[in-house]
Amino acid sequence: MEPFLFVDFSRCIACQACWAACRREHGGVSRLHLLCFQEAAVPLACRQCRKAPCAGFCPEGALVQEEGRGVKFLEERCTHCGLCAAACPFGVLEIVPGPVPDLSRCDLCRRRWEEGLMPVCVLTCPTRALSLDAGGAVGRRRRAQPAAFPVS
Amino acid sequence: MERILVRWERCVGCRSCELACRVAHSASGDLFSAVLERPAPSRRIYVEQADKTPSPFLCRQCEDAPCVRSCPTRALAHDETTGLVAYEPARCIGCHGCVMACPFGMIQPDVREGFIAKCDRCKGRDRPACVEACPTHTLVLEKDFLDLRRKEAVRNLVQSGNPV
Amino acid sequence: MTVPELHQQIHVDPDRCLGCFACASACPEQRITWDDREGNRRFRAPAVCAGDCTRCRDACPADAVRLEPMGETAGRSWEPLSWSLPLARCRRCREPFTTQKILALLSRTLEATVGLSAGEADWPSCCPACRRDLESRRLLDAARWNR
Repeated sequence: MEPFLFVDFSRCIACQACWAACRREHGGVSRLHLLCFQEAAVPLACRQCRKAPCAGFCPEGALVQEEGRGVKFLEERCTHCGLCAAACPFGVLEIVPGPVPDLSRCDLCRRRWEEGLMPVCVLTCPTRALSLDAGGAVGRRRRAQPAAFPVS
Repeated sequence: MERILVRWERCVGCRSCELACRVAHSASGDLFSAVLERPAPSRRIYVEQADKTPSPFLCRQCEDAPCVRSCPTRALAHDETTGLVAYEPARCIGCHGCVMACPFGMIQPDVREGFIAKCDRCKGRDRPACVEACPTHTLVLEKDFLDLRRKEAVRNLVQSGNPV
Repeated sequence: MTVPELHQQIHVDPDRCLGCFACASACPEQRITWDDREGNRRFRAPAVCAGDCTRCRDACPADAVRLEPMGETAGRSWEPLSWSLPLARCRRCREPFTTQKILALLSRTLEATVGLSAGEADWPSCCPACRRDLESRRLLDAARWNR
């Protein structure tokens, strides 16, 4: 199954640990966006879309869907034109300004993946609101606890 | 749309509905060929244990559905004519938003037709495969449910020796 | 007067230019610059480039850059190039975030790839920050049942 960062909002306690961990891992720029509201926070990161609009909009084919590994960024093909950022429906693909604008996007900690490690945000989350299991376990929990859904 | 009602007290957890669902959503539509299909056909109904009681769970086809709200490309939309939450694979970008949004865990990623597996009430079939397959009649269509309830009530009255 | 053959005159077709910054990012000397001001993305480039590279031309996704080898200087324009494209404002916060041309191209691409016609979804006309906000509200709204 294709991996993506599954966020279980019912578990998020807005502690910002994922954001801090991501920032530390990726040299001071967090690829995970944390949107704080009055009584909740939403961690947003690249959703590794299967038919990704960013990949479809890239004129150089620098963003491709890699089987079993989400959307891959091929840096050598990138011309830093910034079109991908305009196409992302969730605003989680960003251009970091600079002489050569850089792409900032969650790649599920690819470097760590190659070493067999989990993304830092998943490891850091104290309530396991973040996971990589494509909703399998979360779906099971949601189905098995019908009492947890108050009927209003 | 006719709703599928679950008489969960009857469920024995045999998973016949899950199997029937997989076969109904396989390429061949036949049990023996479906077993060999790769990727394996996906199910859209789930039998789960809740408080030691098994029960089938199905997409509720919510009126104000969280999955429809979370879809950025309107691949999931409420169909006015059928009353179903309809999935249009051609419009789907596979962003997994609906998977995260469904409060019942009824949408799972898929690799076959489109990018998600969600109950479509067996398009083109008279009765959904799960309802047909259920040996204990846990899963029943709305009108059958009312029929059965009435018959049950009458039987109880007769048995108690106080016919109306 | 003749100049070395390596000199090239830069031609930019503003009608083809989308307003991305691939050329500016590609130039090793950073001779092509751009800024967003007063509702326009304004580009500046020298008329003549002394380099022998073709990176700006190769990077352009719209084939708007043409390089012409310079043999003779007579009749050549040395005026620096300047062209601008109107910016698109975010529907929610009114901040400019990309050019109108890029947004129109996105709209056409979405129509062709997923059949999403203009105005059917709210996010394409919003800036990345507002898209994040919209998305998080949508997801929180969905999660209101199991909070």
